[in-house]
Amino acid sequence: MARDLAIDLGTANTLVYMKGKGIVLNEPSVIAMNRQTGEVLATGHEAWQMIGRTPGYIVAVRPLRGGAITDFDVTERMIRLLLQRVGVSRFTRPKVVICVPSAITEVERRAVTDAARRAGAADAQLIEQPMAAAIGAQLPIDEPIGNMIIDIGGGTSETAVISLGGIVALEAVRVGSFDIDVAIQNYVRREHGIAIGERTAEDIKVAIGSAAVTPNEVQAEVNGRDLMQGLPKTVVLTPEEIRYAIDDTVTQIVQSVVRCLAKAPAELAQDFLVRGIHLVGGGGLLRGLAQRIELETHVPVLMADMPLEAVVLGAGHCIENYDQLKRMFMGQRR
Amino acid sequence: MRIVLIIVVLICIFIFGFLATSRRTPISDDSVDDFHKHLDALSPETRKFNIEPTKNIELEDSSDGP
Repeated sequence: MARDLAIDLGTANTLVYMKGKGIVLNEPSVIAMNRQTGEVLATGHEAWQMIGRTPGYIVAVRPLRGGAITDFDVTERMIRLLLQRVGVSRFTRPKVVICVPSAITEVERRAVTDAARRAGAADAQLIEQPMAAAIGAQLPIDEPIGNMIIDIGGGTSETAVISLGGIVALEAVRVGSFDIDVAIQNYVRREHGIAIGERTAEDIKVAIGSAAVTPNEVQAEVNGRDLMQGLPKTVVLTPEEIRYAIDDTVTQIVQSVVRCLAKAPAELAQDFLVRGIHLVGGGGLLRGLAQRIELETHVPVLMADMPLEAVVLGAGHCIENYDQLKRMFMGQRR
Repeated sequence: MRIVLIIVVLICIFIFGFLATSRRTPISDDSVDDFHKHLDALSPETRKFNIEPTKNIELEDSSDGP
């Protein structure tokens, strides 16, 4: 008998929750393939280490961008391999709940469910990421009070107001922490004349990136390729430079939170002031982001206990209580 | 033959009557119960049982890792 699964199919990472067991897999959403034969060579951590370092015949790709499937076949193969790794075979076909961005289109929704079914799932249901995140973050969403949650992922940032088990207001933008990495890459190329890779940009973000001034800031030495000479070159970057580089992207995220607050019913506004806004997702770990949102919304912002796992834990709770929580799934609401 | 026909008709009336009454049973009660079950399943107390064991599993896993 197959154990049912919850999958957080993120742009950056994929997490799998198995009914009765908890989180059984947490890996980057990356797949490495042989360009000539189409064979899969690696997935997850192993494939992630190959990004930007592969010989010509290997390509390491993220099959999801902005929370959407950009390559259907590759995504299907990645899901199939992930399911195999957690023990799904052609004889054990589990029910699967997949977390997806709330702004997903009908075509994208079908692409995800079809990919999961073709990869071995008996039934595939979808749940919005902010809803799953709110469940996973242990917010009292069963009560008639306003719970506001911001989920900043690799490709999307979603803000939702939830009350009585349903979404009251929602705002989603296809901007996430990967866009912050791209902004850093572009800045370094433009201002310092060196090219850096995706992984180096992410390392810079983690090391010195911030959305507001924070204590004990340090500078970072960055190695890249000089665009003029083509030779390796080292430059020193300051936290102020990175703040300037990522400001547009951070502003887009903060503005989406402000729009969601404006959409929420006035009755719930006092709840936000008392209970605060809850922040989840890898993008939420950017230093100073909570302070920046607080500054612009005048509402306290709190980081969830397990920001990276909250979404899959919430979907896992739906798998554990499938019959009672069927109405949470997209297209099931009555 | 006539008796069989009467029995068949009676069975049909019984089935029809059963279906009609079962459909007429107030749906609102079911939906109220369903909604309460839905909210109960979302209460922090219910979620504690699922999420806390998960934390333990994760901690054990991370301690085993390289």
